[in-house]
Formats: sequence, structure tokens, C-alpha cells
Amino acid sequence: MTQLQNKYQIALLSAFAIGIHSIENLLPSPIPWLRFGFANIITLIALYIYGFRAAFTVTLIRTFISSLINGTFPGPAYLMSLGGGIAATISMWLIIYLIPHLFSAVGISVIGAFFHNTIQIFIAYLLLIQCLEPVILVSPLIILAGTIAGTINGIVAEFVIANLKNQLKPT
Amino acid sequence: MNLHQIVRNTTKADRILILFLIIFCFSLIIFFNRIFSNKPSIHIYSEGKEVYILSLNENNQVNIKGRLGITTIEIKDKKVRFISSPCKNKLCIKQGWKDSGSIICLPNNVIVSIGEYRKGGIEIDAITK
Repeated sequence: MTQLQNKYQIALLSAFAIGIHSIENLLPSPIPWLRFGFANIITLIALYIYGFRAAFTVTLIRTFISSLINGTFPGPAYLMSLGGGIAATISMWLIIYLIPHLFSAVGISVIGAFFHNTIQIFIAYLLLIQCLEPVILVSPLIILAGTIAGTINGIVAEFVIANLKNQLKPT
Repeated sequence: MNLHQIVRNTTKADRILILFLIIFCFSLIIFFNRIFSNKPSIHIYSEGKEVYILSLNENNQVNIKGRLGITTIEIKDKKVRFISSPCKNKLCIKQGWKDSGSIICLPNNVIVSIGEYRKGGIEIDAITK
């Protein structure tokens, strides 16, 4: 029964993440790939409420299906999204697991955003650019934007987690 | 639970982390901009060939052998001018001091260009979609 319920939750969270990711892709942005990463909110919620395995599954499903929707499936954009998502999930889980009460959801989200960006820059460097100078020039800008976006995401996630925990308590 | 409460609930480590990352990124941006900022340089072409690359920051006086004779240019206070030229109209000399763009003497076939001048036009090194 719990297994089934877990699957149901994962499916629901994945659907939310895919929806958010797809809508976010429609928003215009000054630089391609410079997005808010609101889908990370869902990963964070899954991590806090259902644990690492659920969050990891949600990330895998989200990157796979939204890349199919956006038509970037086997390309570098998919690999960047996948690598960033996995890195963010693992890093956030490690921090929660190793030092549980040092950071709130905001800090965890910022850490996730940081690793997401770092891995994405690294994959982009390996696959697309292969020229060190522009990567070095642009990476602090990307990490700065990621920190700001991560803070906003963390605040939203904290809000959702607090409300969800209140709802889940009676059951 | 409102925004105020969430902000109050953030731990000290959160704030330190965010502050550190922002300061770190800003300092990196400033640092890299200083390192990679292109120093303005002067490219001098004579009869289609690049003969000199000079820094705009150093005062200098150069003689260039062109098609008709010798052109003399002067670099001073981050500006360039033609001092003498064997051409007829002396349009290049009349342009006076320049700190950007280029000065071209067609009769003598001498081009003095400030900044980047590439023969093949604008080079594209990557396109991403």
C-alpha cells in the first residue's frame, strides 16, 4: 500500500515538475538556458517529504519527459539538464543527510542551484564550447543568477513544505 | 506561514552562504573583467599586410613604408594621428587625432586601425540555440 502511494506521489510530483519546466521554457529569457529553474522546487519538496529516492526518480522523469516535450531529447541540452538535475539532487540530499539542521530549505536550494550550474557549465564546456576563456568569463554571472534564483526557489519551497507538512500531519 | 516568517526561519548558515556566494561572484566578475579586458591595440597595415601591432598606451612614432613613400604616424595620450604622408590630398593628416575606428590613406595604401581589424570580416566562434 505504501509502495503504491509512493508511486502515486512520485507521478504527481513529476507531473508538476514537467508542467513547471515546460511553462518556464516558454518564458523569454535574455540568454538561452538562463532560467529560474522552478522545477527544482519540486525536487526540493520531494527530497524533504518523501526522501532521496523519490526526489531522484522525479528528477529523472522530469528531465526525460520535458526534453521529449521540448524536442531536445538526445542532444547536449538534454545531457546538461540531466547532469544538472542529478548533481543538484545528490548535493542537496548529501547536505540534508550529513548536516541536517545547519541549512533551511533556502540554503539547500542555493546549494542545489550552485551545483546545478557548475555541472551544467562543465558539461557545456565539454560538449559545446571547448574554449576556456568565455566559460570562465560567464560562469560567475551564471552562478550569481543561480544564487538569486535559488534563494527565490528556496523561499517558495519552504512555503510549500510548511503547508504540506501541516496537511499531512492528521493522516 | 508568511514571507516574514520564512525569512526569519532561515538559519545563520543560509545567510552566510548566500552572502558569500554573491560577494564571491561579484569579485570574480570584477577580477575576470580586469584580466581579460582587451587592451586597445593599433594594427597597422601596409599594402594589405599587417606590419605593426602597437599598444595604444605607449607614446610612439612610427614610419611605415607604403606604395608611394614613407608615412609617419604618432601615438600619444591614447590617440593616433598621421604626421606626414606622401599622398596628394593629405586627407589622412586632416583627420587629426583619433581614439577609435581607423585612419586610411588610400594613395599610399596604409591602414591604421584601432582595436580589432580582421581581414575575413567578423569571425563567429560558436552559435548556440
